[in-house]
Amino acid sequence: MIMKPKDLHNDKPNFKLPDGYFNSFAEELSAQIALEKVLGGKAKLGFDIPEGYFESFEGRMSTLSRKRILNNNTENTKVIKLNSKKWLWTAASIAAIALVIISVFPWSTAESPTFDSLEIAEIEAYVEDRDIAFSDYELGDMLTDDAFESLESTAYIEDAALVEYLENNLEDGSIFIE
Amino acid sequence: MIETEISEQRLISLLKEGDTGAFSTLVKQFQERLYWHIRNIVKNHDDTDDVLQNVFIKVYRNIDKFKGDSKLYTWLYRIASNEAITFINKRAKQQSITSEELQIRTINNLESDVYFEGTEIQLKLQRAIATLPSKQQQVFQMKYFEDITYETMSEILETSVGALKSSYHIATKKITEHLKNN
Repeated sequence: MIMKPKDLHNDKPNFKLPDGYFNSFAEELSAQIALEKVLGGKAKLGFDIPEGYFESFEGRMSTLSRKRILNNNTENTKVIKLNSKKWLWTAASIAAIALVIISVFPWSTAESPTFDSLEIAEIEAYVEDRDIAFSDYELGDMLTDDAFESLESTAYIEDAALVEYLENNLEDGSIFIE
Repeated sequence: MIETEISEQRLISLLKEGDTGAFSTLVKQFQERLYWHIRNIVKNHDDTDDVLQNVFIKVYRNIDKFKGDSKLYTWLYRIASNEAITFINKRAKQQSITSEELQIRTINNLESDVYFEGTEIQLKLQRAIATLPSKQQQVFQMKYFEDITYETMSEILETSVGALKSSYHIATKKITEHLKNN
């Protein structure tokens, strides 16, 4: 017996479809085709990554976990970024943060060391010696919203002091040209 | 399927015991997918690296809070999404601009980014995506670039499949229009 097209439809299983499924399917398909047409096919992201990045990332995370650095549950613990070249920005940022903390929270006790007892150079040396760098995201993560607001309202560096700092510390003088 | 579930449960229990080998396995298993998920949101490689590192640190420190109500990857994607969006908001706040302005600035910088090798049309696509509301951007990117199913996306974004389909459809039409007109 030859089945007519009508019979084929009658033979459908007892599956249910959402109302208007085929209308929306056609519309979605048409929108997808229109996009592909404008893009000239399925577009890729176009992003690249450094060679061997994932192997290196795996190694970094493994080192952090082996050294139990990740175990510290303090929310404000600094995240250590290995192999970063952002040390100059870091040193300047740490120095600036230290200055702000001193001005915002001027505490001092005889028993324990304070920020007052630390030279900026010592903080920089500490950061450099240990190849520690913080992205501004990480630095931001260390501060609360209130601290940020205090920072914005109190952080002010005299132009002369800034120029003197850069002259003494900046290796690449091109920034002055800009 | 059952085998995957068992190994996931085993991985979770080892992570809860503080097993560093299990942590390495977790990183190896999910780093690429999470990297591209984050990169889609923050665009720049160095920033993605920072956020990805923070994601795994958060996972390591908070694994005890994972109750197993959802799949592990759903939980990981949720953390990655939140971290990436928090990153953008904080960066925008630091620069005293809106997150939308920051996104446009980031995309404009892509042309000189050594880790962007896209064509002009890919750059245009990024610009078009940036015009969408945040949630639509996420839905479009997860579907178009990451090939995540609506069902999985529904678990990650805690939104119904119907709403996600509708959101993707609207996003597709808006992007097409933007590309045609720009």
